[in-house]
Amino acid sequence: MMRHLLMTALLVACGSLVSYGQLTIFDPALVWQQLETEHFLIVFHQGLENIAHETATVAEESYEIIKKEFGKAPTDKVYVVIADYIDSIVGSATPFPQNTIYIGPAQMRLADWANVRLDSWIRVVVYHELLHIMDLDIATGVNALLRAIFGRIVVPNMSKSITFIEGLAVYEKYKYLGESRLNDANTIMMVRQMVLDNRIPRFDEISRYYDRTAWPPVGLLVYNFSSWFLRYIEETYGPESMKKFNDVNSGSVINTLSLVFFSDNFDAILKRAVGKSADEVYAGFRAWLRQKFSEEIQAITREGLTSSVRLTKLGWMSHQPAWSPDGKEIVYRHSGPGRNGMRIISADGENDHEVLFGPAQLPSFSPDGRSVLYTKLDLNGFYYAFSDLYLYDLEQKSERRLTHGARAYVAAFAPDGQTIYFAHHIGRDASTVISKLDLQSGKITPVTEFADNSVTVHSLAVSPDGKTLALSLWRRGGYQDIYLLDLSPSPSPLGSGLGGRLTPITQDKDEDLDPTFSPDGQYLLFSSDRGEYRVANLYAYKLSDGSFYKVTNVLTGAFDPTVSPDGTKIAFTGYGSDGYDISLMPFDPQSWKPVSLPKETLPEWPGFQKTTFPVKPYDMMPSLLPKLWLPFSDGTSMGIVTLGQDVLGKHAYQIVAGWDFDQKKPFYLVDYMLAQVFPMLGLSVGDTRDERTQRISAVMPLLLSIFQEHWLSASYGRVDRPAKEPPAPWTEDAYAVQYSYQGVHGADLWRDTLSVSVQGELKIPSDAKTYRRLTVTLSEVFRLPLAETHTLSLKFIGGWSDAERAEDGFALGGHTGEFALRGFAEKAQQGKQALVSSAEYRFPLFAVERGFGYWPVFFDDLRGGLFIEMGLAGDTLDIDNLKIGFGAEIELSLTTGYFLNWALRVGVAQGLGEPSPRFYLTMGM
Amino acid sequence: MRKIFAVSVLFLALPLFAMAQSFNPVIEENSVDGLLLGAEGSYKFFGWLEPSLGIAYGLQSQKLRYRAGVGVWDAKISVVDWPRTPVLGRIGEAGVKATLKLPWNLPTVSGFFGRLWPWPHDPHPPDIAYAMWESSRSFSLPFGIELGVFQQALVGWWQLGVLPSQFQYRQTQLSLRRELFSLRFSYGTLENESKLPDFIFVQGVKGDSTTLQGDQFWTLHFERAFDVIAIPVPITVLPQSLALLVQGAVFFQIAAAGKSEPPSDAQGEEKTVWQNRLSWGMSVLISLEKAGVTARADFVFTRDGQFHFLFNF
Repeated sequence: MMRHLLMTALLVACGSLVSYGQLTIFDPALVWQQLETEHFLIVFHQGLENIAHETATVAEESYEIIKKEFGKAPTDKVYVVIADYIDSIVGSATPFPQNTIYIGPAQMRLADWANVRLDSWIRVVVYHELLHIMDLDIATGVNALLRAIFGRIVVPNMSKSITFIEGLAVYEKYKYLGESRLNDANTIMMVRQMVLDNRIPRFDEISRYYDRTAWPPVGLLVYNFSSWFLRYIEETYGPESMKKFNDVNSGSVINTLSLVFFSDNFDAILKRAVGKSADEVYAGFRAWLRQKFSEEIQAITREGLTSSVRLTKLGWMSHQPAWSPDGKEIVYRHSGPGRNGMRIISADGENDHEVLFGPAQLPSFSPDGRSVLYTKLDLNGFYYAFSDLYLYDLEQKSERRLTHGARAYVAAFAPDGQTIYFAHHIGRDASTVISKLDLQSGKITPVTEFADNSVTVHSLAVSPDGKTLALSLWRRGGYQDIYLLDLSPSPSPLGSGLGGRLTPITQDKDEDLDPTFSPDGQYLLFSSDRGEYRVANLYAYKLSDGSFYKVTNVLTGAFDPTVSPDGTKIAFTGYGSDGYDISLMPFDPQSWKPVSLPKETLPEWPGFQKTTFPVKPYDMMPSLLPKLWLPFSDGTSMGIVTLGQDVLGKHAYQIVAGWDFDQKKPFYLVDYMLAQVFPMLGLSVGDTRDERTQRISAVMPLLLSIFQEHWLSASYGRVDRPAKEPPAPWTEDAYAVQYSYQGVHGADLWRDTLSVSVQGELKIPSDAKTYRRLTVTLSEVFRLPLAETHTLSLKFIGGWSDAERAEDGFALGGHTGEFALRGFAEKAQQGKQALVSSAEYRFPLFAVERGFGYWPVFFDDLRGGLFIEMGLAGDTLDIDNLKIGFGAEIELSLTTGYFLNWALRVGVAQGLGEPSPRFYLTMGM
Repeated sequence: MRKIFAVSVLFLALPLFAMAQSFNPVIEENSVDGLLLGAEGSYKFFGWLEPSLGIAYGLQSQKLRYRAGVGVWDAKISVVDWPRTPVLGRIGEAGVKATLKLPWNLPTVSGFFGRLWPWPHDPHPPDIAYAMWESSRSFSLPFGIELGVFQQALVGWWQLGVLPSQFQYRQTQLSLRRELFSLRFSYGTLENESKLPDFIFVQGVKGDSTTLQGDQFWTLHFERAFDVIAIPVPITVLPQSLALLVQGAVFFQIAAAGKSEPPSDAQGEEKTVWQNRLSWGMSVLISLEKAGVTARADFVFTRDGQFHFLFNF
């Protein structure tokens, strides 16, 4: 038992670490190569050669900078895997089982997640992820010795607050590259608002992932806000503070011994690093922020603030507004803790309602007002997830997919209502093209092409006369500017020459986004973070004379401008205490302040530079070899655990092996997974004290989409036991097939998550007749449409078998297991058949959201539950034997060790006819 | 009969100023007629007068069945010799039927005088009269849930002039439906002091051929279906392709019937003896969108562990 517990704990820890890695199955048609530099192995597939060469150069440059900062560097080569399989940001790093970085080339709408002033998106991603690798790789003192012995199971820097992982990467980028999310307009605005509201988060709120109920979301806290804390530490306690902190933290033996379940006390670590208690340091940070931003706030206010009316009230991410042609409504996108979808609100602020649940992006009305155009990411076959164009018919309430695999991510209707201009990716390196789609014929025609992944389109708008596109383009060198593209077919000096002339309107290092035309076509409005304090404000460009105007002066930010069809109002995305919301202000050119926006010289982008590093076919063996081992013993046996996975995730294995002193024989357990192509195959063999096992399994997706999954799996297993009651050798062959389905539907706050599983088994035991088992499970969770999360769960499980023995059938009762029936003892009923059905209502009691001092324990939410369950089991299902239980439960969700989320449940259940209630306690991940 | 046929031809050839309300084929089966084939329809004149006629031929009984009536606003009187009767345990009825649909969501009231159909089990069925009250309402609850309430009550008399001659029943069905989720509960009670033969509730569950009989019953039916895939089927003559929709479903149903048993002795009390059946399983449904064609395969397990495969259109 003890050994099982220990092995389970080790595998959980290892699994948690592995989950940081890449588990996607790549298209088997991809041909992989590797480029080797002094410190890196860059693995990439066809079409990504140029990006691989630039990555090699950037990675080596970044390596030198970070090595200087930390004074240490990994001894083994770092893998960088570049794969184009999804139209989303891909950037992740794992030190486990080997240092590996994963990046993707589809960096659309770069300004939405990165500071665009950095010269190359590759540098943004590589520097950030490499910093993680070189940070998490550090092991000092005794841990360095332990690493030398046990390998990469010793990763003490994994055991630290996420503030000092993600915040560190953002801060270090700022420190050495001058730009990062730390000093982009969105982060500065968020911190300024915190100071305005006097709501600066506590340290425990910014140091781990949890189910946060208030704005800002925890992701913005652990990345963006945390970086300010680290900046403060270094500016106050010296530029080597991060290095000192890492040296102390990575030397903690507690961090190593607790794996990722726990870690050392942050207060003690910080005190040893900077000589001050965490309380003192954090209090100083808060005071520093207040002082710094109060001065800014006063300076901005002195200029005179623009007044506007907040239209939406949901906060969080309410953005991307667009007017209806009649000017009566605004469509926008909202995502928050309860809602996620496309919404329409009346221009008077009434009737705010969701029209489409899900990740529809950048919605805009068709010129006839009958439908809404948007882009959406969905799975494309089993190996890709691409973004496409969709049209939602507001009368029919139906969605029409306009493109399939076009990789379209920004789109706008032309005034004719038949043409749609959109930006999309082409080629394996996800280079950008602007094309037009003819709705009638479905024909797609390229307008302008930007080769070599040199440009990303952030946003686009079509002029009222349909002759010009306004674009916000990010160009190499870190320039996010506004352009006009003449749609008449003449050679373009900047694009590839397919479309018309591309004329820069702005050309500087400031971030200029979201261009939109006024309905009369006289002005081009856009958002820009230019100015001393990097406040995103609205600006206007007068097309007739080329003059610029500052339209707003706000304290936080103004984005996504759009002018009402009657030309009287501007709707834009503003920012406040609750997050982003849509606001309205008058369209009044007389009140705008003339400004001058001189153009800078755009550096020449010479194109990708080939390096001389050798390129060879991908060799999986070096990454597949085990990089760690961990001993264990339960007193009667001793063994080791090891595991490995190649960086493309095609092969993975776990090995447990050792010597059993009682039985004087070795034992082993080997699991192997082949994930080169669907179906995924698993093999497992073992010879332990109690039994010999063999198992082969296959898992295959049938249909996949963002809202629906269908999977089919099959397995064969054999168990040989030397002795079983009655004492005799015993074997069992088992065949199993399982179909599983999961689907999600939603409408505003309502969510409906349905899971269905059907498992059929054929078992051939040596001591009984062959028998069959069938288990059908249906589980449905309704999130009720209330502001806080209230759920109603319904569950039905049916079991049927033709086994001769009751124990080979189904047993009812207890508080765990498939056929649990709370309020009754385990095996309260047993037989060839069983049915259980339950209803459970869960509701929030209290959002604790507090840490336990500076220890890595965080109490998240306290929730209550009321349930009723009923079931019966037996060879014949007679309703007269129906058992009914009911009860209540309290669940505390908590985080330990910064990464592991747990649910602690305490419950009481009364079975009808039972003499007394039963209490139970469970803890699970 | 010939007159009726002549009237029907005239009726079907009515001038075009009448608004056709409905015209439907009749394809159904009962144990007396076997397969019954025919058609029925109605026309509305002046917005308030609606004659209707249905004629069908039973292939097994070789009889022509009919129902002809005239509706004036919400009242209707008809002459029927047609399968289906609200009298429990019977196949059809022949006689005169009057129906009044009351306004403001009030129930529909009907009355009948005539004879129940003869069948081998009862070759000389009695004359009967009954009055029936039916109410069907649905309510939209929060979260997109539809609550349906159907109630039916019947009071009938046979052996007219003999006491007691009355028989009656009441039944109610409550249903909750949300998209492809459905939960249905029904219950009913009857009184048959006049001992009308076969006047009893008969209940059963899918996959179990045995039936339960009683003067009380309740049933519970749960089904949760889900869309698996919609496959476009291009049909050249249609501008748009139809979709072949494949759905999966999990279901269970319970039926219980209680029969009153007389006291065993003079001091004893009447007891109700209940029997129940249940079945559960999975289904695969294949339907052609807009064509109204559905094929359903059920994989059913019954209370004693028997497996049954059912397939129907």
